[in-house]
Amino acid sequence: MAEARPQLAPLPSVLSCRDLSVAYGSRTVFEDVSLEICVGQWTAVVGPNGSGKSTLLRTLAGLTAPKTGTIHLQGRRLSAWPRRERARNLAWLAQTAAPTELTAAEVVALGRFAHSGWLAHRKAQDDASMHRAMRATGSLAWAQRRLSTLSGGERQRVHLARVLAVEAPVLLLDEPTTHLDPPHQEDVARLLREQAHRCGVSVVSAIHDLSLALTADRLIVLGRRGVVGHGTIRDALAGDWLSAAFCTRVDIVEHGGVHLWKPALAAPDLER
Amino acid sequence: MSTLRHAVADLGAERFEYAASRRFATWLACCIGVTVLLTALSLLVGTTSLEDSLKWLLSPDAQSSVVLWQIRLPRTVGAWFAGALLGLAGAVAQGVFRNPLADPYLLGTASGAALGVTVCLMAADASIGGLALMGQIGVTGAACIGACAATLLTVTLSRGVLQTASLLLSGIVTAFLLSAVTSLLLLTKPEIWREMQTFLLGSTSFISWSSATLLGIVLCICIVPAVLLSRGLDALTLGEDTAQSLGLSLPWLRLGLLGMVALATSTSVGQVGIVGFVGLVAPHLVRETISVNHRQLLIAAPLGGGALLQAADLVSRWIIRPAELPVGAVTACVGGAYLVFLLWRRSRDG
Amino acid sequence: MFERSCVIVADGAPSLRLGGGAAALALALSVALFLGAFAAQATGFTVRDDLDRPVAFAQYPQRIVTLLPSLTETICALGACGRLVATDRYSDWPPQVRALPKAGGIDDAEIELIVSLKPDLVLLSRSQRITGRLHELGVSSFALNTDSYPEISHTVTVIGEILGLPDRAKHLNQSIGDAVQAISARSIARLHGNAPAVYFEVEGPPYAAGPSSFIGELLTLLGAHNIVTADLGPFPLLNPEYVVRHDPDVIFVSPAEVARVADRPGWDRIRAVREQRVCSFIPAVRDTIVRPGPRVAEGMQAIADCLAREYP
Repeated sequence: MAEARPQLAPLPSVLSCRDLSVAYGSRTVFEDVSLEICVGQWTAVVGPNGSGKSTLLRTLAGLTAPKTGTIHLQGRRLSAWPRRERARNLAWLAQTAAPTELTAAEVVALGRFAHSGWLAHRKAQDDASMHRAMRATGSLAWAQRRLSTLSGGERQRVHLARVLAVEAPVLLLDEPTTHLDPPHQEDVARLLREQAHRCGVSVVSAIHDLSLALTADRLIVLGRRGVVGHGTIRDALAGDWLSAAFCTRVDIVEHGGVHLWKPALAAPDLER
Repeated sequence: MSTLRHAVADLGAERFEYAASRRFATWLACCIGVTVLLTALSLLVGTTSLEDSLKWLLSPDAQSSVVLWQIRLPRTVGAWFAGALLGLAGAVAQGVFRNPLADPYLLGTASGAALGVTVCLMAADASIGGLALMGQIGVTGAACIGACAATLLTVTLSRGVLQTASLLLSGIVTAFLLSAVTSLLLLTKPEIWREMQTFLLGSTSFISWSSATLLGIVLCICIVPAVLLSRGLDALTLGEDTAQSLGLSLPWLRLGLLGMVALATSTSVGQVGIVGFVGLVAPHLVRETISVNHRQLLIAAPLGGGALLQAADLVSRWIIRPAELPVGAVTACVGGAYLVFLLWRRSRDG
Repeated sequence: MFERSCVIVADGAPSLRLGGGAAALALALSVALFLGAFAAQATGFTVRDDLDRPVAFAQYPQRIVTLLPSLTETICALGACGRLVATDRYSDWPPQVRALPKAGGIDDAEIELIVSLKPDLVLLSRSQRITGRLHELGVSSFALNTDSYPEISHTVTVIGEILGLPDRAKHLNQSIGDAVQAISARSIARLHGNAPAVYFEVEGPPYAAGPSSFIGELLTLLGAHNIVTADLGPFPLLNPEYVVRHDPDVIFVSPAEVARVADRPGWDRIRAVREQRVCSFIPAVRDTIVRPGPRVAEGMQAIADCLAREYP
């Protein structure tokens, strides 16, 4: 477990966990994880399949109860936050979306639930947030269409818009780029960066595409036995975290200022 | 559609209306129209021919006004309210369990009501004290109590409303358990079997104005919180975790909604017996015909359910007049036909 | 057993001739008796039951199991109560049958118990489904259907034939017929031609007894006019407004419903309800009405009494 290498000036953390252990029944997913999510940064969570990326995000969102450990959101214990207030400050995107008969506009409007409540009395502010979110994800055109009539990528963008509409300071996104074609994946990456740097939102996203993940500000690398390391991209490259996490099956190369991954030439160790 | 396009094309601060789409309005208008028509027809249908009934309407006498206004009208109004309660409960159950084939009896209410009625009838038969008790609460009260007790049992077995899957399972267990107990009791006293049959197959024969009023009051009590909580049901369609992350309190939502389902179902069962398929077909039909969000569904489904049960009541008193079919048998035929139609359409569409 | 068959066969005993051919005659007699015994066993008698099966009897059954209360009552009315080894659980008349082992009900006869008692005959109704099973287990069964008034005398006659008590059966039928006739005549005479409109509700709302049902036949015999017409069948489920429209003079309901009849919508306008002319019977009396059997006269008397009380 590598400690975070101190930056020049340590950024304040908006979400942190200490000694977090999560288990499903008798199967331990990860143990004794301590992390700090920095304000205004886009943190990507990477790791091989089954390393617990989704579980980590779910636990940080407060959807799964950890076996041990504590989570603090903006200095307060997560469990101490009242439900609606927490929903206004922490938005979570699921990896797979359940099929629904709602229209895109209705789905995005649900993102304002924590603000407008049960009676759905939408004020101009709600409309403005929805509008902004849908325009940012390019889903305005199908606002009145039912989700079941949209393609996978279009649906994903609607769900992203929903999460953005919450206008929460912390976003936890599980695979936000699923179903999206490469240009739109790049759009999402740009959007997340913009949210983080321009709007001060702290974004944590689990991304399986390494090259995309490497365009983030910070990295949390999960391996088979817990966190391999967390810190900036440079720290990750210097510490060879990715090789360790993926059992020496990936190599990172730089090309034109962009980091890309390629398969390592050594014979794969399928047992690990 | 053109107005919607304009709304979308205008990138200013447009308001995102929940499109009270034309189809929803059409559905409402249709239901209300059908209801009015059926109510009028029900005044004419009964043990007399249509001509005689018309004559009664035009020149009423003491006896005919009793038949028209004390028997036929409360019957059709009560049937509408009962059908609306079942349609509402079915729509909510389908939303809470996120299963389009859920029906309002999923929590074991039907079996509980049947057991309540059996116990009540047996008590009445067994002793004078039992007879007095039955006189006080009546079959309707016993059915209601039984249904509520069954719901409590289900929720207790699943240890709260935390898990949908365990609620479903405990509902099934409760239904089987209480059915078994009812059957055992009936074995010892088979004379009440005939009366039980009427209850089990549903009957709108004896709905009076007081029954209809009770059903109407309960409908009003149930529909208001249901529509208020409809947004929660919408959020639930996105998945339980997502709904929770949006700030929804799932346990309270489920508790509130299932409590409402229990109240609606037990009242309906108490008055008209166990009428199947209305709670399943009405919301399903709404969803197949017009796609709606839950707030619209929880208004459209009761309207559809009410009209459905009204129609079933009419058919049950028309087909073999002056004898009657149990209304549950008619709804079963209609429901069965509808499901067969769905299957056929599905296989045709491939 | 041999003696018994001899009794049946040897109706007219051959005259004995003493002397010379006595031995030859004795031999012939023994041979005849021997053959006769076999012949008697081969004949016995056969009766067709109500399932149209020919049931063969070697002799009159001595150990009988009945699975229907009316059949129990018939056997006891014929004085053969001692031959019963078990009844169904609902048979409760006459009181001595309550001590007998109970072999289940109409749909759930206890086959093990029946077989273990080794009965000669099991009497049951046409609708009970265990006849096949009993046949496999080697137990003889006989199905009888008694749903209407004429079938009572038929049942009594057949049971009399099976038990070997045809005279008693005839006598019983006669007395039943006479009693019923008497009650009927008295009732009709009392009414002086005013037939009261009657509605008889069998258990549960509102199955009415039509004229073709057993109860309906009794009502007709008493001179009452059933508001239910024959084309509706024996037990129609009526639309309640039918009763309101036909405004009966006397209504018969179960005791539990008596207090609640006035609550039924529109029923407070019915003459019978307004003037409190409602009849109901306690379970013991109700049994005599709903079980078409030898106590039919008692049941009929109960109805007649109530009718006389409520429609003087």
